[in-house]
Amino acid sequence: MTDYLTFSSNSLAFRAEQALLAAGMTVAVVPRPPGMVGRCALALKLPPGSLEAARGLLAARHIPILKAHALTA
Amino acid sequence: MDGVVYLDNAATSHPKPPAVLEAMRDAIERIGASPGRGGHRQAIEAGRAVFHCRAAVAELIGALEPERVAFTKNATEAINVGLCGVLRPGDRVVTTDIEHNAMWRPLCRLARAGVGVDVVPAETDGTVDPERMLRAIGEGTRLVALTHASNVLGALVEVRPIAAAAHAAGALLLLDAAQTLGEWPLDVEDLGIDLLAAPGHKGLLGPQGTGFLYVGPRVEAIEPLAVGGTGSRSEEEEQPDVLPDRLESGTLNLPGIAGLSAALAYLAQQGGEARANVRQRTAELATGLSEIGGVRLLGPREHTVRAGLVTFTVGQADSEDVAADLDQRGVACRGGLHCAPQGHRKAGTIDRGAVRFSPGPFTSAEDVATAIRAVHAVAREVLP
Repeated sequence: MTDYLTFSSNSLAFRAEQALLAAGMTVAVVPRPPGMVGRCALALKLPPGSLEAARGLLAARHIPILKAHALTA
Repeated sequence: MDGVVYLDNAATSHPKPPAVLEAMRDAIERIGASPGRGGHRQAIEAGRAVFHCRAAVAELIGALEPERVAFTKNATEAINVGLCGVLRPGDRVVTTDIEHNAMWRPLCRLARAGVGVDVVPAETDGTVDPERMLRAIGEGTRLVALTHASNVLGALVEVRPIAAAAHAAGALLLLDAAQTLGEWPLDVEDLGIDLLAAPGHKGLLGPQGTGFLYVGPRVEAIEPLAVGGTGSRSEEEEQPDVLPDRLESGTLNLPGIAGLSAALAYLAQQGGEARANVRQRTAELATGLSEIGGVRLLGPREHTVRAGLVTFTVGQADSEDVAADLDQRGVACRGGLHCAPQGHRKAGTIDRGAVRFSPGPFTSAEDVATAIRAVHAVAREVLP
């Protein structure tokens, strides 16, 4: 499984990237989760098994997530 | 231009820090792509460059979230978005009688569309009495909109009590910081500013074609001036309701925003020195000009409440003629009405305008001395 986070604006995606990188989490900005077309701004691809940690960290930073997606790689 | 003393920083700052040009060149040559459009690496890097600038602006003005900073092409556009975004027919707005056309013209248009505009008179030196503003703010007031400092008179407005009065009446405060941001600290949270409009190319030392509107948390809804592609929620017919996308339609000015980022980085390092230089040169200009017979200074006498500009007349001479004469003597400055006839009506200079000197971070004491000598020479020619 690969986890993705989507955001309602690109700015939020970059702010989330900055926060997660600063916390030592290796994330990648991607256009959007595979199979999803146009319904979000940029997305983050998370390292395996880090979804809950990422959610908690972004909540603490008041960075809202649009949706978390768990997709089969 | 070599050999020219540039004293028109209130129109646009010059020169820019060298890093501004380098960043713009990098944005065009290396990054190239459109921010927020497409998912390839260049497009993502372009988007990241925009985000870094947004975050730097937010840091500068004390905004809690970078998303509350929407880029515009200048302060005028930002003011228009702010005014037209929150005011509706039947609302009332309180303003002053020294506003720049960037504020005054949209307010006149809104008045014709049914918005009530209450105009509070400023003092002749451009000072705005907070008590007068407080008395004008009432139950029907939706917005208080004014300049932080007139581009003609230069007097700084005391923001905090006006913001507090606006909020007590359930209204919002829109501040036009075209002549002050970068030169004077402005913390939106601390001062209670709900909408802050500013250019990127004046006190922030960025390139022309840049500006922004800050939208604070008290602004519950804001209508965009333009709608269109945002790179998000593309399947929907309606403009996204999230900031900054709500207010940013179409491709952003990546080279300009990258240049503004570099300018903000420069100010983060050198801002204290830059601000001190502007204030020192402004004080020197005011003192030097006041010692020339026949020269009349507009604005406040006290240097500490003045933005980085000094406006003056030479006898009864037409200000455009004086500015042209100064140009021939190697001093670049602005005569005329400065797109702010309201300020000139207040100062009694609507018929012939005035000459404005506005120093920048790179203006030297020698530049000031050259300019003062040039005004002396002009005064000898034009005064009886």
